Amino acid sequence: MEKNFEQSREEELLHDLEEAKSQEQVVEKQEIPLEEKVDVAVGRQDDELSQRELRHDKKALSGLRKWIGVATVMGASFLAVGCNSEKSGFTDNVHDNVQQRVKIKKAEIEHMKKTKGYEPSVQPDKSGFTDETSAQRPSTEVKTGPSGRVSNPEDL
Amino acid sequence: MIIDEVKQNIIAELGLEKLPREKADEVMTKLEENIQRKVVLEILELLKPEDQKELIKIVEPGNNQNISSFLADKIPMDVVESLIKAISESFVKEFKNSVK
Repeated sequence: MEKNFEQSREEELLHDLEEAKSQEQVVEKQEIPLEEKVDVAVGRQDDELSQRELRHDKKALSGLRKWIGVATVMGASFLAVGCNSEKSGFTDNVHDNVQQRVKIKKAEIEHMKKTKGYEPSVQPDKSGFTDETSAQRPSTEVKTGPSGRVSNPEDL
Repeated sequence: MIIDEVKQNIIAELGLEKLPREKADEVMTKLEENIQRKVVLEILELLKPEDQKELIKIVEPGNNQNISSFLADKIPMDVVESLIKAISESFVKEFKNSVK
C-alpha cells in the first residue's frame, strides 16, 4: 500500500517535472518582439549619448545641433549615409576607424600648417636646377631640334 | 516621392519592414537624431577647450554662417565629412546587430 503511494507520488513528480520543462521550452522559444528590440537599441544609444552630453555646455550642444540640422538637407540623410556604407561592406571596429581618420587628418592639418608659410630658400636657375641638384645637370648642353628630339651627335 | 523611396530603402536596410510604418518612421527619426547628437559631440571634442568657449559665444546668437566659418577654420570640412560617415556607419551597424 505504502509502496503504491510512493510510486504514484514519484510519477506525479516526474509528470510535474516534464510539464515544467516543456513550459520552460515554450518561454525560450518565444521571440522578443521586434518593436521591443528596436526600443531597447535606440534607448541604449540615447542613454550613452545623454551621459556624454552631461560633460559639455548645453548652449554649445544645442547650437551645434541646430547648425548640423540646417546643414542636413533631408530628414534621413545621415541614415542614408550609414546604410549605403553598410551595403559597400564596412569594416569592423568603427570607433577605431573614426579615431584613425581623425588622427590622420590632424597630422595632415599640422603638416599643412607647417608648410603653409614655407618659402623655398634655394631658388632654381633658368634650367630648373638648384645648387643642391646641380649634380644631376648634364655635362654637355642638350641640343634639341625643331621636333624636340635630342640632336647631339654623340647621343645618336 | 524620392525621399519616400530613400526611406523605404533605409527601412529595408535596417530590417524594420515588419514594423508598422508609423513606428518605423519614429525609429528612423530617433536614429537620425542620435547620429546628429553623436556627430555634435565628436565635433565639440575635437575642439580645444578655449575654442569650445569661443564656440559658446558664437552659437548664442544662432547665426549658422558664423558657426560654419568658425568650425571651418578649426576643423577641415573633410574631417567633419569623414566623421559623419564613420558615425552613421557605426550607428547603423550597431543598430542592426541589436535588432537581429
